[in-house]
Amino acid sequence: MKFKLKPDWSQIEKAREVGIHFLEAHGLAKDLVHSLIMILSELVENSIKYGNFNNPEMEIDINLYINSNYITIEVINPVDQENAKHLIRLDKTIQWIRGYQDSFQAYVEKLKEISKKPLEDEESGLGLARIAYEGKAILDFFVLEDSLNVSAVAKY
Amino acid sequence: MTITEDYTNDLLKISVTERDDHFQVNWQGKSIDRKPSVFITPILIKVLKKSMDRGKRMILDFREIEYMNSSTITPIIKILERAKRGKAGVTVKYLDSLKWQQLIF
Repeated sequence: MKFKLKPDWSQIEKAREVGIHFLEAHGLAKDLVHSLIMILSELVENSIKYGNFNNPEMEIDINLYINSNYITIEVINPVDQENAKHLIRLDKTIQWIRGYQDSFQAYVEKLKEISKKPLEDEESGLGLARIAYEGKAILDFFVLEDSLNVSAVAKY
Repeated sequence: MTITEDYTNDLLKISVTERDDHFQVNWQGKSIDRKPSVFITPILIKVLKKSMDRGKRMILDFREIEYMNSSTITPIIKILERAKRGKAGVTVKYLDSLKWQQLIF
């Protein structure tokens, strides 16, 4: 299934509803649906936060694929040179998560790091580690022309 | 007499009740705000301070929450760390039957 979303925070709930409807229609278990919708939400949140939506016509593309054993969630948004530091951070974070044999360890390390930060520091940085651990998904990304494609593949 | 204070922000509701030996903090709905800490942190700091001042345990009850984004987990972890440092008693209640809550907590 493919659908588009305006880069507006209020649209996240809409994306969640569309995703839930699609996944439930495929007969997936409630826990799995919750886990996949968490992945979708976190990726869309990042897309809205870090995407480059200079033109009001620009939207987020969301693709959900279900194969016999895997579910792939893709979130695609426009990027430009101004997004370079976020792309570097995305790359580093994904590599960092992959460096752990068990994604639970990456998640716990991230929680420890967050717990020491000041209360007023609103940066979380937890989303990708959560996707890997709680969503049991493998994260990847690529940039093609002016678009960033972030994907999470979960086995079920 | 028990007094419950309700705090609501978008789809999230936090209810705080002072009991004889603890503060009960119930979470309901969904926390999907862009910056949930702006809403959550002042509430939790206030309850934590009262808990320590009055020697009461703080109970964070997540059993009725449907979903929270990772930005919501952040202020909760920070408050739990501060509670630990301040030697305040904290209990976290969650539903073991919900896989996502089991994995988070």
